[in-house]
Amino acid sequence: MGFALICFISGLIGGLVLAPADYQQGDSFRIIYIHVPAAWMSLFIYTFMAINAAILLIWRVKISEIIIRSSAILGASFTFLALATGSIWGKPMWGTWWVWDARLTSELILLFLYLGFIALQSAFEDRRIAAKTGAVLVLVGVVNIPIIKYSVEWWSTLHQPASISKLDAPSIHIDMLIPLLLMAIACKAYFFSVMLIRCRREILAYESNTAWVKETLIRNGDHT
Amino acid sequence: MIEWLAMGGYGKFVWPAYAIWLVVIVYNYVSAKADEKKYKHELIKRLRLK
Repeated sequence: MGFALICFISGLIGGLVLAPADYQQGDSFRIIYIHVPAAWMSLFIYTFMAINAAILLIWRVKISEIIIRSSAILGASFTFLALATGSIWGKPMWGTWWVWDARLTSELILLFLYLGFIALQSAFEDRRIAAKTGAVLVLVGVVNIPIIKYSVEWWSTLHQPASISKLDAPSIHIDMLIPLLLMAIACKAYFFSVMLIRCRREILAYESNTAWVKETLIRNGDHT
Repeated sequence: MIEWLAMGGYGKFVWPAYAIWLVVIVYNYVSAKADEKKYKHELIKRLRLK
């Protein structure tokens, strides 16, 4: 978490103080330093969950079940942040909080997929059945990921196309790009830190009746 | 400083966006930590009862 915090602070200083204002959007463009990493994370976490869902269903690896469950709330949070910050940016730039544009609508569907998964987890008493049903939902919903990614190319949308591509040179200035990349790294480090905390709690719940959990609690001095 | 806070007239959009982001980021971390701590205490209590 320390690494994430350092990247967050550097990224925020770079984005809010050091980066020059955009020649068209002025200072409102600074919302991208939270909006874009949140949107990237929403896709990354869902893909990560889908890979773990496939591992769970094919090889029945228990840790994948724990990872999916621990990641969902974070994925939902980042998707919410991408939608909320995008909406706030849209008001001064597009003149509206929301449009039923392909990118925005498919991102909203992603939020519903996350919420659906979370709801499913509390709908079943048996955790294993809940996880397997959830895994199926995650795999079905993975079709939405390329739709979100390529929606700005496939359809005529109000949302701008990607400014940063893996294959082409980025279309934004290096002074604006570095804080954005720092924020992206920070979000990824943050996600793994919080997910691991949640995983630890889930593992304790699964293994609460085993000797090693009791021994660990006693060894760490948590019994006092 | 005031000029920076005004964000060229976009301060009323930029700062609420960052505030929402900060609340969600901090909440997720704090709630994960608190949930783990609470569950550990519950487990210890259960161990003591046994």
